[in-house]
Amino acid sequence: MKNSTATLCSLAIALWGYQTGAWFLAIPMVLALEVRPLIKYRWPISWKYFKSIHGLTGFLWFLAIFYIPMTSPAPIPYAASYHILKCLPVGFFPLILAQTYCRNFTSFYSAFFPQFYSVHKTINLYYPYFGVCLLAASVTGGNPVLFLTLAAVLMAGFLGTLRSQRFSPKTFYGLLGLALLVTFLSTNQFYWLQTKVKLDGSALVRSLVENITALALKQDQGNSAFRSDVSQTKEQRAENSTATVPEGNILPPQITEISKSPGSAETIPQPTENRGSTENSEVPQRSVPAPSLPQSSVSSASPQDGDAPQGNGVSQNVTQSLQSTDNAGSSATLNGSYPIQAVSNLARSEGGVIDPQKSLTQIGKSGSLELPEAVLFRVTPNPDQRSHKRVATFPLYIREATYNHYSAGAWKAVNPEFISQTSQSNKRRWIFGSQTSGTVSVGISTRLPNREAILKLPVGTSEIDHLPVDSMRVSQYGTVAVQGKPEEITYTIQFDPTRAFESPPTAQEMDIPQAEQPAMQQILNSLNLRGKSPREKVQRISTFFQQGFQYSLDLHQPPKNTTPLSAFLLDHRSGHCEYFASASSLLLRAAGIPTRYAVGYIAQEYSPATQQYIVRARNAHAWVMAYVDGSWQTVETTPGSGLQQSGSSSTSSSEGALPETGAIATVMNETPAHVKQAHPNPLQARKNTVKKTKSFSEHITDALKQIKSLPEKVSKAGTEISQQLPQRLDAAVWPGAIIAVGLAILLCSLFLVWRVIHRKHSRHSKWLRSSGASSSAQPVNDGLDSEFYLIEKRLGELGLERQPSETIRQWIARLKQKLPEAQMNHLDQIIDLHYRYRFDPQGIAQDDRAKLRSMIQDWLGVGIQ
Amino acid sequence: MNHFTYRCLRLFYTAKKWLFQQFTPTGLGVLACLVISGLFGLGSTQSMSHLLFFFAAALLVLAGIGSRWIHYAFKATRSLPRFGTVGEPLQYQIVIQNLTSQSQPGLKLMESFADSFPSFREFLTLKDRYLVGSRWLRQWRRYVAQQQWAIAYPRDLPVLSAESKTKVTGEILPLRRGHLSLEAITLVCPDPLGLIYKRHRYGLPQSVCILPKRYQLPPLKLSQSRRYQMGENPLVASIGESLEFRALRDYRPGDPTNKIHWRSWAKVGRPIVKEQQEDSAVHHGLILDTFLPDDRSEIFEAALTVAISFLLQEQPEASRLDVMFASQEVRCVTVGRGLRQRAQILEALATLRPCQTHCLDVLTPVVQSRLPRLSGCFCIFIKMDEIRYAFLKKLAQSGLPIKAIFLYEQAIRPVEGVDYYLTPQCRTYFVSIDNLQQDLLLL
Repeated sequence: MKNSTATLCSLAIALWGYQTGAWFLAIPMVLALEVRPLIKYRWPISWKYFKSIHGLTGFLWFLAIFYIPMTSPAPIPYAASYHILKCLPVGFFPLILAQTYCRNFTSFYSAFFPQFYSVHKTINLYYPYFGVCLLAASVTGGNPVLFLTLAAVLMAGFLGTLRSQRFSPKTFYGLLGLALLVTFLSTNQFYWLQTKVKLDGSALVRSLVENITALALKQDQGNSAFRSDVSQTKEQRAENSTATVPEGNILPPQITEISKSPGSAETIPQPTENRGSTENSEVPQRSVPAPSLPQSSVSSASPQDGDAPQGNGVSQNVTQSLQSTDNAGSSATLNGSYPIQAVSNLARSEGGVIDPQKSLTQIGKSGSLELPEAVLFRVTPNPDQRSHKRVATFPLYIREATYNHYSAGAWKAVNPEFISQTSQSNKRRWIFGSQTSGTVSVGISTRLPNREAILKLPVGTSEIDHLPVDSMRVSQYGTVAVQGKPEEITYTIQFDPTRAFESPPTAQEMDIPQAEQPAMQQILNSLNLRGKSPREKVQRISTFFQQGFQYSLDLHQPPKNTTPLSAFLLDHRSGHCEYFASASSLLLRAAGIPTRYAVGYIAQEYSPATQQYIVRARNAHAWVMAYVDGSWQTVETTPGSGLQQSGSSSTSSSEGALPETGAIATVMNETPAHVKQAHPNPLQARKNTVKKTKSFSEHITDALKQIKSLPEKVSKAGTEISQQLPQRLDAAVWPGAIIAVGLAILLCSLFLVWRVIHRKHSRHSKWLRSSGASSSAQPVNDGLDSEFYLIEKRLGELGLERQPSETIRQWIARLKQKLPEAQMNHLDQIIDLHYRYRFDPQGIAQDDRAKLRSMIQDWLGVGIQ
Repeated sequence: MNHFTYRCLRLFYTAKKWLFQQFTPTGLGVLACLVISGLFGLGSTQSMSHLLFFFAAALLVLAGIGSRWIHYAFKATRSLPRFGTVGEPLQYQIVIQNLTSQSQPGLKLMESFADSFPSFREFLTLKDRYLVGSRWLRQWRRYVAQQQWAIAYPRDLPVLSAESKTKVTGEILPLRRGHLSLEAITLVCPDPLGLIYKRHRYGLPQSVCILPKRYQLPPLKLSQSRRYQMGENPLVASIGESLEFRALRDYRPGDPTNKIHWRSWAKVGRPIVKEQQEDSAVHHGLILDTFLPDDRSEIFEAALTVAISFLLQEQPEASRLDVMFASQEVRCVTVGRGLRQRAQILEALATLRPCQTHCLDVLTPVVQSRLPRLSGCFCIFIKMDEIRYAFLKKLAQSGLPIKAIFLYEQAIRPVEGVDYYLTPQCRTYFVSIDNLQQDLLLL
């Protein structure tokens, strides 16, 4: 058995090598184990060497953690705990070798596990090692069916060596097959639950473990996993340094000028200093300083900021303020040398403060996105319009920033020109354009995270009221930056979703990176867009994404020599909103339609209790702004089933949203389902994927937040299950579900039948035991109330008493000569019944009891002649 | 808070016991695999851990269901010896009767003992003594382990023939002295997958007296001088050099009732008493110090061990031995050749607890009353203090040959300046409980 277990360990190591790709370790390990029949000698071992081997175990494990590649043939998101677990077989291997080739190695364990050792007489390390190998093999990616089959075969071999001979092999293998079937069914249902319901309970525990192990592996992360970020940062820095800085100062176009919509030609009065001539052509912001902003924050252009595209005062303000809030957990290198990257990291941690100049997406990274549940802000429909307009307005796209240049997974706003905006009344009312008949009003309750912040506004905002900020600046891309006291604010917005006030497109909005052009051209050729109107092009491209693509939070690493977007379009065709927005944006550009990339949120989760829409971090989204028919239109290409399916509990509906926008509005109706599930902002997503910059206290805070939100999640999950289950059963998985339910019912029925039989059996055997084992244990009062004792008493009074040594029958037999024969016959019957009443364990029936009573009464009534 | 902590510890103990009773070692491995893979795998479907989780869960569920379909019934009787010894496997006969009409292969036999988990009072005592958290927990674990009565070796049974009896040998390893209660015999059968046990318990309460571990003692070489023994030992075949039974005679007023010869009285119809020859014999005394404020102490256990080793060891030079000690009350028991009290005194010592209410002085009257008969005395003291030293001095002044041992822990060295020869015939030894055997051989 020992030999077969060792061979099973070899097979488990082979499986581990196959799954992790660490063949260079697995093959020597297997060989080292399998040459044991050839090496006859077994080395004696001392306590000193025993301890040394354990020291070596820890050391090898430590080395393996650093030197085994973190990636495996089928990549999965990096997690420190996974990697630690993955390296366990290497660490424990010296123990297995020692058990194989040393004499009495395991007997040393008797000192540590005396009880176990004294009971089982031996300690076999092959058994736990086999389990460790299986666990280590499981924390990798790959073909699940193949892995499960191989694992089941190994388990069959393992359990087969230990199985009881009481049962036939047929029973054993039949049960194993059934276990495999149950595993397939339950996994299938688990996948369904995972896609439909997001309950982070187990993830919470896992994240806690990961946090702790991540802390322990901080150095390791710094060496390997984090290296990619640093290198990426360097790339970004290089990009920034080589970015074309426009010559001279280009004044931002007036907001009123960029809107081509009728009725939007109202000129917004601008302060004269904003229109002032350029005093410093290299730093445009200085030509348009905001009076209310501190000079240092506006005009400071440190040498290190020179790398960033210039002309972005607000960005720098935000950058500096965020840098000032940096904590010790952030990388000093990032703070010092790569300010843009630092801003991004900090922006992520601030939850809602973003960089208006650049958006680093998750495109091209590996892993999977996690979905924060934190509530960021609330949207209140205008009370006057709650009844009907809300239906038409929501789900509402709330934008934070817009970008127009894509390169290597990052979107940039080229030369954003922020101009100051003047308020109308005591710095509380801000007007951007004229109100039209289609103007809708909503309120937004949020908190300004810092003194400088980017405002969350719906597209087409024409007026903001009740906004107590010191100053406001607006870029030509529609991004609004404010400066004010960090506090809770609630502002009212008038907006017309059919209009946008951004600047008209420039050459940047048609730019497609060289590397992406072949893929774009290939897709365009397949779509046959020639001769189509812009609106039809948008429609076709949207349909293209809706039909052939799948939404996924899993991040795919592209093959070599392929860009992530090309791989997305031509290969795996699954991704999250950043992929869809970026790809469709470039595709529309290739089709001749200017586009921009917008990031923000979708407000669609209605709370009847507060009559507000709750916007969480997972509602963050990215979409496309396309310049169609002379105005910027929101185009949604991320696939989803729409709100009419999922939002039945909510009173919101996307039906009829922005009907006047025609084809584009139809596209907009396709609100992505993932938004409703859980979906991070590009920034939020990165926050969750790159966890290395978080401090331990932040991890704990996150975990506590998750714990707090658990009841809400559970209730929500229950609602979702109740809503989704009928639909799901109608879908293609109903056979699996019915089989699983049927199996469960069958098993429950069998169990109940068994319980009934078992209880009956145990009750019967209990009675047998009690009656057979000790009749003396019966209650002494049983039958003592028999009326026969009245007869005995009567006869005693007549001097015919029973002797102590006599039984009743002996006594009556003695009295036969003294009593009449008729009475004796009755007495015999009475005694029979009395004995039964007295000693029969099952007792006598009620009729017999009544008969005994009546016979005795008759006998007593007749009396003795 | 204390109560809550105790409850938690008790829950943990019960859960651990339950797990080891319900699952086979393989089953425990699969359960561990289930927990770990669930921890790592259920948060994300990216890795394969969730597959392992579901597979392990399916195996355990099916094993649980499979174990429910195993049926067997039995009765058993157990023949226990009167004594066992700590640390030595105790073997005994068990007769198992298969009550079913099918033969039953693949069963294992296990013994169930009485619950040994410490009481809340013991918990509080221990907690008060060790205030530091980590130290207390370590001591608590050690204490719980010490409380365990015995280890039951699972025995693979031969095939039990249908409706017939099978004789097997049971084996347990006693870990504590005292009365070991065996509550029940349990037959277990692993399910077809070998993960979960099907258990069938048959209540069979019995007990066996477990003696402490014994050590080898050299001959103590106490005085061989004979002392006059009053004729107080009836029905003894031979004591010293005399036949103690001399004649029967009529009862005289004043004769003690234990001298009455009942059989002769019944025969002749009047009271007859036995007349015995007064004899002289080598009569030794054993004084055991049991006075300790703690409920449990290693040094007390060592003292008992030495006393029982002394009792069980054949002392060729002595024909009688007076054992003097105190538990709740002072006791003096005479054991010797021909006397049947050896088993009782062994049992009494095996279950002895420290006397926490009195001090050594309560033994003085008993010892003084026995002194005229004694030829020599062996004293076992568990502490070196003034009371004990004075007691020994007083004893030595009687001129009795004495060997006294003072037990001590390694950490507490004996007091310097102790007179190792209080009198020429009184010898004092210090015995470390950590080197008990080596030090005892030096006596």
